[in-house]
Amino acid sequence: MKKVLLFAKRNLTEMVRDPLLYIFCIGFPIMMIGVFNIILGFAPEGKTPVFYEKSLIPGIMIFGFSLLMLMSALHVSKDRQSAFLKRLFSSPMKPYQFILGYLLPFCLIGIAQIIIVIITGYIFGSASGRGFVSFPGALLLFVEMLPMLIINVSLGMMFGTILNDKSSPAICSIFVSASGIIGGSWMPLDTMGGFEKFCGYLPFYQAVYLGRCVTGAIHTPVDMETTINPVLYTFADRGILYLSMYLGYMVLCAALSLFVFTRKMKSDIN
Amino acid sequence: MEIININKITKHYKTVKALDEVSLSIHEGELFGLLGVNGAGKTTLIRILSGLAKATSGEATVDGYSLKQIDEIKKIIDVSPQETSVAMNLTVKENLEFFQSLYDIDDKEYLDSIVNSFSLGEVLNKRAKTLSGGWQRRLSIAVALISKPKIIFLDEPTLGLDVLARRELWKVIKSLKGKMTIVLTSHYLEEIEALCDRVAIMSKGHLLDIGTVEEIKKHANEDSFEEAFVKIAGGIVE
Repeated sequence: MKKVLLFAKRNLTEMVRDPLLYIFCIGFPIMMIGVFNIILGFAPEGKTPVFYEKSLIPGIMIFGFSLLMLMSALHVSKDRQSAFLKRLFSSPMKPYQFILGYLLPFCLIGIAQIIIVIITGYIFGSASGRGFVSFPGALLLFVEMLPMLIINVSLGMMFGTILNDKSSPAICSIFVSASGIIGGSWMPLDTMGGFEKFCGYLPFYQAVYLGRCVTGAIHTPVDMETTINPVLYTFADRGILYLSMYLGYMVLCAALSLFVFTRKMKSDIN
Repeated sequence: MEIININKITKHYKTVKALDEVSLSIHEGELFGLLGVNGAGKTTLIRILSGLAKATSGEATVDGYSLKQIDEIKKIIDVSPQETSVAMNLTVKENLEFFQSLYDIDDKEYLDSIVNSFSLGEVLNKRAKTLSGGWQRRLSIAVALISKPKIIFLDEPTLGLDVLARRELWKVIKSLKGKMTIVLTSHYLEEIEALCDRVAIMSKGHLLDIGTVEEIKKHANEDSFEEAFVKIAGGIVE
């Protein structure tokens, strides 16, 4: 465990000294919350609840994670390309120590992201008078987001393992876009019928949907009836299905990432 | 006493035979050079001995351990790869401390002695990425020594450095002579001539000659080491 912590400390130190981490993983998500608040100021009252903090914050979280995926992939691919990993492969470190040493700091940064975005949600929610979520709700939201964090850092490590520092950001940018569009972070998927159903099979929207159940977000109104009597996102609706798939994706991505990393490590030593 | 024994090591990469039944021995405490042009198989041999590649056939022992006991070998060796492989966002001191802890060594005095012998004191708190190529390479070799290895592999340690930086690094490498076994690869003849106790000349995966620089010159019947190398490795006579 000592070597895991040592390697994790090195990775965390290197990452927190990279200004890009603050720009991408902290600044960008906060900026997006600000931007959508400005947009909301121009939108008709009650017509775009997808931009309310209760709806937006879960989406912004998965958007932030996708940027963390990009940074994680970059970090691993740079280690590979600079032969830093090669040097460590000739040290007495074991494969599991590499994997945990990478995943731990990535997760720590992700946890910091969740906390910062939640705090930002409280600030904007209070300032606008729309409110956000109770403290126990915020804790539940934190827990609900952890599988998505694991999905993203696992994929980040996997892309960093198989791609170089030029191509890994390109692949990760697909996930950045996916989190915003098919994750429904700022797209009112609930008005899109079949497309929403399709997105429901992917972890992005599952994470956002479950997050909105926790925050008590409301669906986008489609007629006068739903404008007057807003419909809440509810767990009873499709929560069990989404949660099962969501946890399944987490296990799948983590297993895939571990498999790819250990396989690549073995193939590098051949 | 021999610390590394290589017996008919062969390495195939898909269509390329990188090493072809290479056999040689390296004595404890000597500075041994592997000399050859690009693609000679020098790096592949180092990779095999340090557990970064597996031999297709053949055997080798490192300090009495067979290559199958690579975990034991890893405890007594260290490698400085061709590329400068240090943590760029860590300071010089943090890099040294990180690698020392990785090998479970807690010896501040030794760390200080490495800092002094490599004259790293003036850049100790600078991040590696802010250092020049020469200083980064110096740090990379210092990092390889920080684990107190019995054997150190220096793969093209001066590749890409200017003449002055190269000469500085030679001084450092010379100062290590006798303290540990050093296996150095290079394609710079003057580097091998200036530093190594014994040399193995390799070409296209074959070991062509082995001995001191003087012995190799004698084998090739040439007065200069360069002519001897060209004759042996290139097969160009007259």
